Amino acid sequence: MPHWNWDSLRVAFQQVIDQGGMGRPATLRLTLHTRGTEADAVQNLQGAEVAVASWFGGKPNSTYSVGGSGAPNVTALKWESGQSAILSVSVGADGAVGGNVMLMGSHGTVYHDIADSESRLS
Amino acid sequence: MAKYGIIAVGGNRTHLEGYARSFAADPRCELIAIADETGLSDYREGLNRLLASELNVPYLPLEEALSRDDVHIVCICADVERRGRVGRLCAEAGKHIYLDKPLAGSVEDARMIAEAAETAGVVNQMFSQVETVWADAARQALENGSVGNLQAIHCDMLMAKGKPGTVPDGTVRQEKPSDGKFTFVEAKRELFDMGVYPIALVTWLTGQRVKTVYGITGNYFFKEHASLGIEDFGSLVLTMENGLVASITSGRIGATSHPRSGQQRITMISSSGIATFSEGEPHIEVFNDDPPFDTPTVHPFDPMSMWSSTSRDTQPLPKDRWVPLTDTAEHADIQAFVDCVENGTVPRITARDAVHHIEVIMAGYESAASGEPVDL
Repeated sequence: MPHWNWDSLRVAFQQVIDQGGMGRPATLRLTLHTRGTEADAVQNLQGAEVAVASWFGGKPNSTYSVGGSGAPNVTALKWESGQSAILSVSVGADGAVGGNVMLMGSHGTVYHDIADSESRLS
Repeated sequence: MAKYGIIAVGGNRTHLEGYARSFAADPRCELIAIADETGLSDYREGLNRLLASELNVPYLPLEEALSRDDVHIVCICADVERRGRVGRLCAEAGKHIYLDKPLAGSVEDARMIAEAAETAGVVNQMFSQVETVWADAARQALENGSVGNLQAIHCDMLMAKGKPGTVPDGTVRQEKPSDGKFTFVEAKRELFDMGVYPIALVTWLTGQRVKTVYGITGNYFFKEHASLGIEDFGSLVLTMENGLVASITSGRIGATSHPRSGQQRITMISSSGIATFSEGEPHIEVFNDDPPFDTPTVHPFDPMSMWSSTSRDTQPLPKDRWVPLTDTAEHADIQAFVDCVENGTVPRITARDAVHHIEVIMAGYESAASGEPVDL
């Protein structure tokens, strides 16, 4: 799975938010490791940023990143409204792929373990 | 007769509730007394005396207890603001010291404990998660090569307790550098109190010190934290001395937000791909017609459900839907400490290690206040 299918994940989480299942989305923890190239890692990070902007109702006003350029990247995002996210995205030539997502809201948390099989959803 | 006499500093509504019972459960140890400094608040001394009564041991002034030859180990759960001088006093008395986490409320106090322990040559250990089944599995995977060349490490330590959804709408946290105040009745600073666990795990697993810290804190869930002006959540992005990147999340997210005690996980990215090690994994899941877990009754003196003594009053429903296939023995960390005393070996997390944890946490607050990364 060089690319991640963000749409299905974004929609599923959005449904929970819209149904009031977690209260106000507050902070996100996302870790994703796929096979692929640096370009794939950049694309995956952009996909994650689009998804979290959708859940949090807008773009962040502050970004801090470490790593990247062939190494794992960790990006911290902050919103004017106080919300935050830590996105950890990496790629490798071989080995196990997958990750995890934890979207914490004022009333509850949504968890997802990303499995290799999900690449078939795209 | 037990080999080691134990003095325990602190009382109810501290972690001593568990630690003292763990020492007492070890056949090598005998709990001799609960002790503490004189001149404490009525609140603290009353809770200390209550624990002594529950454990059927005397309550003694600390200096008197330290003068006894039959005392070999002191377990210290003094208020965070007093830990520096209490830790130093106990080490200078030549007693081995088992220390509550985080080590102290300032880098200076933390160093004072570490230096006193090293000068006295006593065995010293801070409570952490490194003796858990899942953390040990992560360490073994690194050592046996099943996790390859490490490229990044991420660690989460979240506590599913307290009634969430009570933070006032529109609350936006503005962090400030630490003011040295950590002891409150209703709540704790969560980056400080919970963040120490993943920081300890990351530094222990990598064998690296932290070079750069970027911090974010929030008030996302609880009115108690917001009203005290303290955070209920904190995350850090770390760059280690060898360039490895790392991140941690820590905090308290609400009693009904996780099927067990909370997400406690290590994720490692290496040349072998991704590997995760979690508390409660692997597990079986139980579905039945028992009433589901619900937020426990809020205790007026412990709304965040921090202490087992108050849980006796509120009687929460058990969280029994996830049953781990393997679990960590309740007393594992203290047994490991007593093993070190017995064998003359160095614990996995010493006071000197814990000084660095405090440096990282304080840098995290400084970064969260300024919005800029902080170099150590």
